[in-house]
Amino acid sequence: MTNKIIKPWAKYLRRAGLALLICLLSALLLFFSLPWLLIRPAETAPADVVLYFASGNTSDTERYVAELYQQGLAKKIVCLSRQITWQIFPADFAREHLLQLGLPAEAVTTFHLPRADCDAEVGGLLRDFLQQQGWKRVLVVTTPIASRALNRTLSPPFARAQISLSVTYAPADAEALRGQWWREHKKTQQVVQQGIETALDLFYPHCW
Amino acid sequence: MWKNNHWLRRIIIITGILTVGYFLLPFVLTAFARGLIRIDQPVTADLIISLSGDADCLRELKAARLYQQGLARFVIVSGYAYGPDLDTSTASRGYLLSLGTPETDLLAVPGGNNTRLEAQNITALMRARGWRSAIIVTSAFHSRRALFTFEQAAPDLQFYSAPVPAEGTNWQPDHWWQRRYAFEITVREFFAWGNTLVTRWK
Repeated sequence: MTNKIIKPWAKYLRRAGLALLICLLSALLLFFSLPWLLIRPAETAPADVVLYFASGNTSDTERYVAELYQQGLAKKIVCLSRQITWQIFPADFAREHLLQLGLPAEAVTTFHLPRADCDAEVGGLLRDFLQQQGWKRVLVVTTPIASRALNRTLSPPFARAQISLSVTYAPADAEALRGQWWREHKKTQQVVQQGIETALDLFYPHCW
Repeated sequence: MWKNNHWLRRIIIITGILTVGYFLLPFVLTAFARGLIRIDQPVTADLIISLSGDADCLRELKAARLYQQGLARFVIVSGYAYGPDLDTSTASRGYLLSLGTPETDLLAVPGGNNTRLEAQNITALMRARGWRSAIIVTSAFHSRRALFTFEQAAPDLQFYSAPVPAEGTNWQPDHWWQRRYAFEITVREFFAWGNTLVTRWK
């Protein structure tokens, strides 16, 4: 009698446990695969302009942008960012840093991005800006984890305006994500946040 | 025949659960999001703390308003390091000065790159200055976790929550999943709660 009552529950418990285990393993697999899913192979093609998406603590990236300029890959650099607090745009700091690295002031400008729901919303704005300047080849420099997402969101509006797009990042930034990135709170936070953003974009047509 | 009935019953039960779940889900999701908010009755305290992380500076604006209402004598603006030469507390301080907050009543606390660090830095300062109570101003979605973190960091001090209202273009708990911006904030806040609770148990 007792066996007859317990048996069906034991079966369901086993199934639930198995489902939970599969979910847990999938979540772990997804977590550790995030850099591979988010990072796109870097493309460094000659361009009319480098669009540098500035974010904090990016000395390595700015040195890389300066190297690209010094190698003659582009004659103009535009630093872009949104406001992070009152009248503070990382793009302005990035420009200052690039000038300190020896780049001529006339070669480096800034572009303040508006607050937007997602990056895809600024694609049209950037396309219009590039068209106004007459630039047809663009090299985007960003963080490695944002590379795939930016390529996805900027490619359609740029392609419609016949603007060629390459996306790259500083080798040092990519190297930092090859090791045990999950051991550092900041890196983990950045990777998970980008993962969430990319996943959410899937559910909103204007972001994909 | 019996087998067919058995499967039919299962299909009806599953369809019923899914249907009820579909109609209940919006209420459940909204309730979860409302659970993120903590609002306390307005009280006077030793100081007002404006936490960092709001690009639109609505937290700082609210802190300035509370100061003007005379709810506290001092205002602390917290900031986080953003690059080698920049801490956002300097800009936040400038914003409060521009709103008329006297320099003598205003303190900037840098290095608050997450809520826990902010709690550690600010409660240490409160103890050093002999302040016993504070009104914490942050975004609505962050308010319960911020209070929880501060109370964990300093159980001997008193904290009250006065978040930025969840209205207009700000984050709102109702139908948050319909707006990409609000969805991201809500999901991130749930992750942050998970992190807060897990690290507390360590």
